[in-house]
Amino acid sequence: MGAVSFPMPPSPRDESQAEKRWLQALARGDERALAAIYEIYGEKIYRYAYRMLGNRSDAEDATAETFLRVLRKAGELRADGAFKTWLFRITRNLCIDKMRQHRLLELPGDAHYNGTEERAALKVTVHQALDELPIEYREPLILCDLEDVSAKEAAATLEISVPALKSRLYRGRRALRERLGGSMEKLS
Amino acid sequence: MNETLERLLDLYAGEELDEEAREGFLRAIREDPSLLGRAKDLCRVVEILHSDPGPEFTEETSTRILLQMQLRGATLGPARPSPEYQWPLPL
Repeated sequence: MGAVSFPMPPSPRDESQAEKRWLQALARGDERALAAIYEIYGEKIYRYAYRMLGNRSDAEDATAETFLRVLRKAGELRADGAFKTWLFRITRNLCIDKMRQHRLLELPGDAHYNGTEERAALKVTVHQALDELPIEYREPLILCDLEDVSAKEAAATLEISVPALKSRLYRGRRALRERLGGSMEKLS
Repeated sequence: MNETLERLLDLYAGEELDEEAREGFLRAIREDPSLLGRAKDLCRVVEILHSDPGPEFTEETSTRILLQMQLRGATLGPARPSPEYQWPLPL
């Protein structure tokens, strides 16, 4: 009697096991491994980069470069649970470099928001307010509130302690609330 | 507002209070309209951020990223789902 397989959504445990196996395969030079690691983390990394940079083109570039760094470091990577944090940290550094270039060149971000015109305008208001926050407040908000990264992982990505992360997160929320001011009612 | 209430306000907005602390905080804000308003605003900020769908990651997005990787020298074999993602059923 044969067997048929149905794809199931991966649980975090599955993801961690798959990550471990593919990292080992990457170190052995398995060509499928990078694509497989990209399948696990590509979307998360792209979304994080987009939130940081505010435009599609730079986010795609930062995502591609992040995974190329994975390839270059293949022999050194350890499947010990810290890989995701390492990946986010690489992306963060690439984004910060790009943000510095943007400041020099004054490149505008683009807005890819769905929904009605009014809703899109309100979202732009939120994103503009977020963009105006100091980076030490913006980063915890992007990681914890927008991308749902755990406090522990976010703290490791930013290379700060969990209490320091939470302090920045709380201050960031308050600062965002101040900046949104009168727009708050329309956003409810 | 005192420091303890400030701290509780942050924890409340982030849904980090246990039930007992949450009840205590809710009692405190019922007696203080300005604190109630601030709590509502802060909760709304958190809610807005959590409900933001964010950028779309389409197949075209993924294709462009993979192409960039290949143009910069990466060799990408076809990624196959991991066996752990399969649920074998007998026919």
